[in-house]
Amino acid sequence: MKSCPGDESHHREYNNERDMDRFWAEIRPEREPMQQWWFIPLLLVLAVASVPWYLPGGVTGRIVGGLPIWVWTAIACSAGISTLTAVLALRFWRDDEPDHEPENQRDPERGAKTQDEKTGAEPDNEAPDKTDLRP
Amino acid sequence: MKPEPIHLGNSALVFMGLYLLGMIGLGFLGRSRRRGHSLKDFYLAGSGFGFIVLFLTLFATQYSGNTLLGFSGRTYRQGASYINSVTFMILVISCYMIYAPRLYRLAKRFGYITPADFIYHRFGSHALRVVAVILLCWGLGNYILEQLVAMGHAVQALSDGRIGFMTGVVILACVMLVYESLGGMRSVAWTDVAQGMLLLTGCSCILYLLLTSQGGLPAAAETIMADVPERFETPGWAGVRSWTSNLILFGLGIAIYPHAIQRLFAARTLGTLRRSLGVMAFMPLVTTLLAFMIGLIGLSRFPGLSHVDADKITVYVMSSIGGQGWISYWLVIVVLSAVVAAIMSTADSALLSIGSMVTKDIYKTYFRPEASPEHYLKVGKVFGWVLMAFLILFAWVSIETESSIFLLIKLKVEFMIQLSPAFMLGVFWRRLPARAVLLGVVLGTAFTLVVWGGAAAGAWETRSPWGISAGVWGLAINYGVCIAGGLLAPDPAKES
Repeated sequence: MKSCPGDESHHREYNNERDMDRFWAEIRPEREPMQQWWFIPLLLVLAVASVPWYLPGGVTGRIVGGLPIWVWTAIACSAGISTLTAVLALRFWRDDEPDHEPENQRDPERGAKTQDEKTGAEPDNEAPDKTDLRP
Repeated sequence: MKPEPIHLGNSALVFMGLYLLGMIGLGFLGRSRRRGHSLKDFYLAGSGFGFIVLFLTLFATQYSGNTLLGFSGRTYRQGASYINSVTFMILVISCYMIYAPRLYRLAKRFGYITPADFIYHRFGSHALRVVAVILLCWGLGNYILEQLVAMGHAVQALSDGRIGFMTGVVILACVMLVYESLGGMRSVAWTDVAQGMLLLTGCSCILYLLLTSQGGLPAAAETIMADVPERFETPGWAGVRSWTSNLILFGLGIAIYPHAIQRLFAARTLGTLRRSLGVMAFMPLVTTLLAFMIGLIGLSRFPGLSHVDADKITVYVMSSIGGQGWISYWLVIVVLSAVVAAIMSTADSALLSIGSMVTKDIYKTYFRPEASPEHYLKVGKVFGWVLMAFLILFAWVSIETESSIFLLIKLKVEFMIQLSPAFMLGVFWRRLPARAVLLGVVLGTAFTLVVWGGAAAGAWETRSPWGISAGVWGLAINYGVCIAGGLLAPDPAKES
């Protein structure tokens, strides 16, 4: 369960296997945005606040910086959704894989050699995976 | 008031020629860096994108010609209420926060190449997989068609009309096919890096030009308030419903675009993906907001344009700035090239995605399961060329005939959004059965098709009953069926 996807499945291609117990055992990351109870409510509040339902139709209101205030409100709510999304992506989404790839798996053009090159092996993309899921 | 035609001279053509040669060069570079002949290497670049490449390919792919041409045109026609475009483009990234953490983890562990890999793995239904591929390919095909039409207009504008619409389409499509066939996703992503940087530069130039020329947005607001004050007015209840419908339709629908999902699969590590999405969440405040501002400034400078001319408002605004000195002239060339780059980067990604789904999910699974990887790659490339030839022909026919039946080719997001429950509910709710998802997708799609077909045939006027898009109504039916089906189905966890 704690395997790093970089090693065992680096070259693996899905081939219609279906082991649903493993599917559901593997699906949960260590930490994900949906675990935060406030994510969806806050998202909905900001999205609803961006829509000018609170004003009657056909109203312009004050214009500031070339745009009506209600447009600035929509922009501010949108910026709020951006911030919420970025915070969720950067702080509330974690998993057991390392954030930075190990040196030995970097692209050749980036300086370090791949594991295949170090061992002299041909990169065999069709090689059978050690963890064959077929029943 | 229609503006004077834009005169960019030979420099624009030389710049464009160099840009296209550069794209082909990146195609060869992508080919030289390939690692084997696997589908994963060709269609996901071996899942090896770092932060810069992943961010720029996501950025260039998400922002198409439609953003810089279509969104500004829509703002011109609709007015300030189209600010909802900024919100729904941000909501796309927010929707990724719902299902991407689980989908990314599965993709890495089980080696998904296409979104349909997940659908089959999760639901085990061949029928659902085939329906999903048909819907996604239909949506992407229409998306490419839209980009081809935008390509023709952009090349015409850049060349002062010396290069005809169809010639421009064919040249750009061929360049795209060449670099894509050479290096697959690796070439596409590297060209996306160049195109994304051009797009970012272009947007910065637009921002500079808009803020510094002719009084900027405040001056435009004064003119709009004097000439067309209704464009600055709040929408009534019908407008609020339409606004909400847009947030749902595009927020959820664009999050299902398969070429974007495949870029999630192509991230080298979770860290690169998280950082890329974190930055992407703010990009609509740059690009979409700029398109919105262009629309408003265009409205103040060129009021009274027809529907078709309104879609060229970005070009008109640029041309009005271009005559103000050589710096402005070159900035306009960069901006128009950025428009072309945005179009190409979206079309090539969509084309590659269709190729991957047809090859991996249909041909490999149902026709030739035991062929060599080289054979599959060849089939995918040939399919791409044939599809592009067909779409170019279709673009030409649709423009020549202007028949209302071609209204149906605009069905993109409305179709693809019907797969939303398969992802949004599918990764969380184990009880959700395949037959409920299939029934929901079929009913949601059928409802959308009937509403659009009726409008195209003239049986009724609107494609948005009660101001809400047919696709959103279809989605509501779809989610209803899925939730009911899930509640009625036995719990598979207990069974196993």
